[in-house]
Amino acid sequence: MDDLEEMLKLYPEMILISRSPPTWKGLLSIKNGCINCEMKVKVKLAAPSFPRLDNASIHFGGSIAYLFGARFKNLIDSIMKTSESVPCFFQELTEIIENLVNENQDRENSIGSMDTTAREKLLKELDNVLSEYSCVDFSSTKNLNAIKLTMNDVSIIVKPVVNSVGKQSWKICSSDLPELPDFIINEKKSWSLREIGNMFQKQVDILEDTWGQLRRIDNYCYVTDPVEPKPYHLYRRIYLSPSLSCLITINPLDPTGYPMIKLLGVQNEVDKFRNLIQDEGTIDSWDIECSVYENLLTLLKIDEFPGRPKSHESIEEGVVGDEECCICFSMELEDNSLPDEICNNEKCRRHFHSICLFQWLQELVTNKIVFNKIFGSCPNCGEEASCNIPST
Amino acid sequence: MQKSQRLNREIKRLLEHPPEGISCYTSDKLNYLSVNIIGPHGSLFAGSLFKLDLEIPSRYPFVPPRLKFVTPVYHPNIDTQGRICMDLLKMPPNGGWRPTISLENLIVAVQSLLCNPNPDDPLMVDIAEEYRFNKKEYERKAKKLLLEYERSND
Repeated sequence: MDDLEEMLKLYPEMILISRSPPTWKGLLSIKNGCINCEMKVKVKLAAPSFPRLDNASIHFGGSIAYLFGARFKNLIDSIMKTSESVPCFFQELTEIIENLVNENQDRENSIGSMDTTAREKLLKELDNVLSEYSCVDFSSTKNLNAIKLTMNDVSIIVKPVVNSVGKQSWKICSSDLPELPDFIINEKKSWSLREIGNMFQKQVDILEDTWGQLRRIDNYCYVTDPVEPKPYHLYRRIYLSPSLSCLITINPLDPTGYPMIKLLGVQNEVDKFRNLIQDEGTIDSWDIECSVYENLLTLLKIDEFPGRPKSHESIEEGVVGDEECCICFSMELEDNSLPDEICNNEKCRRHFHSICLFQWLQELVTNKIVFNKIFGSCPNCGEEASCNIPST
Repeated sequence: MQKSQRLNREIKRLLEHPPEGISCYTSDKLNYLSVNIIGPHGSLFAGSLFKLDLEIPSRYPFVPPRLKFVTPVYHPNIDTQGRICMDLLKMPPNGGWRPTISLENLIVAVQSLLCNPNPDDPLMVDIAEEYRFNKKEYERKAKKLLLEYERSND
């Protein structure tokens, strides 16, 4: 039993948990080149034909789950065939995992060649901004490839990049902020994290006024769009009547100033209101000391904005019910017929009136009629469908 | 009967619960809807307003509605007359219209096309080329056209 002793010597963390069949369970140390530290991978190996590896089975812990796939499996299978003993197998296995882990890490670092110095520089930059800012929160992903800045529940995510002139800089990859003309990251310049933080803080400070104005509108008006206002929405569509609404867009650099106002609706209603607004020199009567909400009331000559109209339908209901015909969007036709065709595809199962389905299928010249049936495809899922030709 | 019931329901829903960035109104012309699309956040046209006309043919939903931009757009799939080149607006076998598509689905698809042009199926070949090979210039021209239109219509 030399092999067993050798295993114990070389891989003390692998424990023989059964002798028939010989089974090891334990941890394999993997050197992680990038961070210069070791990681442990859980492994369980059962080798029924020990000391050979025929019919052996192996399981890995979840920490390397991201490596699993056909390529990984092929590599393992090939060393199982070629390895002469269990210790050899473990040695080769360790090498394979080390290579794959490092390869993966290289790919993950968005700065392809982020070496130790770049990483240290980045950490130092982060360290500086963390101690400097009290109102902006900085958080980072584990491998430093994205940093999130948060202030008053508003955040942006930036990634380190090398810009077009070869300098280290940052790119915004997701943002809660609206685009402001004065705050676009100049690609040619090399930005530091501190500058990004400054810009972010300044931008949020500026926008606070605008958000305050918009919140007021949200509280006192029935806003039909956006359904869920986000910090980046600078517009509100306010309901005035079923045939009219007004779309206002606030200029963040002049939050209480005269906003962009567009009237949307049925043409004659729009014209009526447009005249009303344009009649009496509206820009003169707009008072920048008052809120946008109050100014809008004066402008439209109303005391309050209409509330949400009562509706029996809930939004959750789709435009067509599960049991209704999904061509005419209704249950019962004039001749009292109900949806009587159902798509055969288990995942579709849409209902149709045969008259509706027939009418659609005969629109397409490619569909064939055989005896009293027409053959085509389901208008919902595209799977084959057929329909009896209704007798009329 | 089939048509009117479906249309009433569709229009009611569009008026009462429109999707984000979309609003619709009935028009004084019969079977016409005026549609407004607001450019979505993060897109080239963020916050801008686009007007469209939607005409519902008498054989709807067995043939697709006709949808046209009123606001001029510089776009690989929209021509100077506002006509839109989109699969869903055409009958099979060349197009992908199906009667299970609602007006809402269609308008959302156009909203998405507006910000994500499809240069592989262009209506405006020159613009498609520009979009593919010189995106900055395309974006500049598209914004310029929109600004000019907004100014002249204020």
